[in-house]
Amino acid sequence: MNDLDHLRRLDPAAGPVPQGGRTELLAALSTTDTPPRRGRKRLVAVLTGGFVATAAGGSIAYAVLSGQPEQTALGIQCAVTTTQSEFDRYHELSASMTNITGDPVADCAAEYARLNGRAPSLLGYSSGTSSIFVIPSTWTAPSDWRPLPTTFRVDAKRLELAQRLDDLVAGPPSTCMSHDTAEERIISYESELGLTGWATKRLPTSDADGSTSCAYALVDDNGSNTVLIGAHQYEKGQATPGTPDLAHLIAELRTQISQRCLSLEDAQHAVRQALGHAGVNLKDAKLPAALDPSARCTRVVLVPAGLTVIVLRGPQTAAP
Amino acid sequence: MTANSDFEDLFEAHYDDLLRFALRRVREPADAADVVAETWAVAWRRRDSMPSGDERRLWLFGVARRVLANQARGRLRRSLLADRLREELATRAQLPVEHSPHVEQALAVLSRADRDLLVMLAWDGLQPEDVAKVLGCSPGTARVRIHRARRRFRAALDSVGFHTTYTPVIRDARHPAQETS
Repeated sequence: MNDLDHLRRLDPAAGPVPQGGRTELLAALSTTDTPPRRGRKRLVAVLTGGFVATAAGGSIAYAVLSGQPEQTALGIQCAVTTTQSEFDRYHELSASMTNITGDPVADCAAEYARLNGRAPSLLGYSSGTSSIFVIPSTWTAPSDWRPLPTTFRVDAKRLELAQRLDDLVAGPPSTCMSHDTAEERIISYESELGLTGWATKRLPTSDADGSTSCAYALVDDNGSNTVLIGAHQYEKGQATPGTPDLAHLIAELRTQISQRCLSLEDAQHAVRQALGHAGVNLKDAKLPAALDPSARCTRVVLVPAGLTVIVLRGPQTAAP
Repeated sequence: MTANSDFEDLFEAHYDDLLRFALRRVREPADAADVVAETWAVAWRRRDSMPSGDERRLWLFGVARRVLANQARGRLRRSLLADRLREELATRAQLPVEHSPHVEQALAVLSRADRDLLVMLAWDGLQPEDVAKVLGCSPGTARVRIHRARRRFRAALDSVGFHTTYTPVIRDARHPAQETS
């Protein structure tokens, strides 16, 4: 036997494959009112962000919505490496977005500048699948990428909703939530963000009533205003937020920020303290924070993203 | 392709292959449902600019690879389109898969890129020139990368006590996935 013969015997997909959903998928595609390459007025995208706080597994993506005529479910990922070879090799694409203006090129430029100094000229591309990439204009884009229109915008509220669904401080994965509790939390988020006309849909699970598993939630990436609720495979009690250090950090952010009413500046101070207790010294580094004058208190979101993302949004002055 | 019937033909011809392609590359079988749904959604949107003939299958694999890469970079994305398939994949009994801890161990020490190349050859039944099309590189580059990946795999197999022969992959019109022996 040669090397490939050894491998061939281990094929996990040899033999017949399931046919469930096949007909429905084709029917759904064929009835989609989407002319090829043009058409739908909304775009769902994924925008990655990250902030080095402490080690944690996983990754982050935010679902966002565009009002532009470019269609398709896409992702937006900022190149923050200084050379294309690093980008190609590591796919290290993003760091935290200190603010989302809705213009991914401008936001990525701000992020690049925060991390590397002055940003070069950047261009956004559709990768043709589920990602938009924002890269320096001097880099060579793969031949199947298409430049994004400069008018491309994202919907920050949809983005924040998706981010909060991943939040380990207060979101569905912050504890082992039942499906009912997760749904209540989702509805409260939508209300806070002013998102109207949204629905929730429970994904099929063997734990029909969600009583023995922990819920997770995702914004549907097909562009509908739907949050999908599913069940983690693990049993109750097995869901733990990474390392003990991370668990401690999360607990401190919960008690010091989520359960209090702080201004943005005070919340930044609280994050610094919590990170210090976790052994992360940020010195004078600027924390990802967005001013939200309409908020009474600052919200904190922590998402494990390979790096850990911590984002604050809040008012200059708290109004408990 | 312009007519829906052409797309349906494409769908019927390659649905199983694409699902297998996804199943070979996801940790949880149910995750393949979203890969399949998203890949077909891309195909639907791009049905007017898709290559023709046999190239379509490789083009679909190329799209699926990028969908998988995006999944790996971001969080697992879920689509309502994939509900039914996800449910079936999540609940079906595991297919009987042969296990060989030593081979699995040898595979595990390889880089993701090397594993990807080997899986395309051994499981997807692609030829080096097909691999080049899926990866979007020249056939020469693909051959070099495949050669190096196989060399590293054989070394890894040797290190766990498996001694193998080397036979280059060549195209055989009757049995496209076969090799010379």
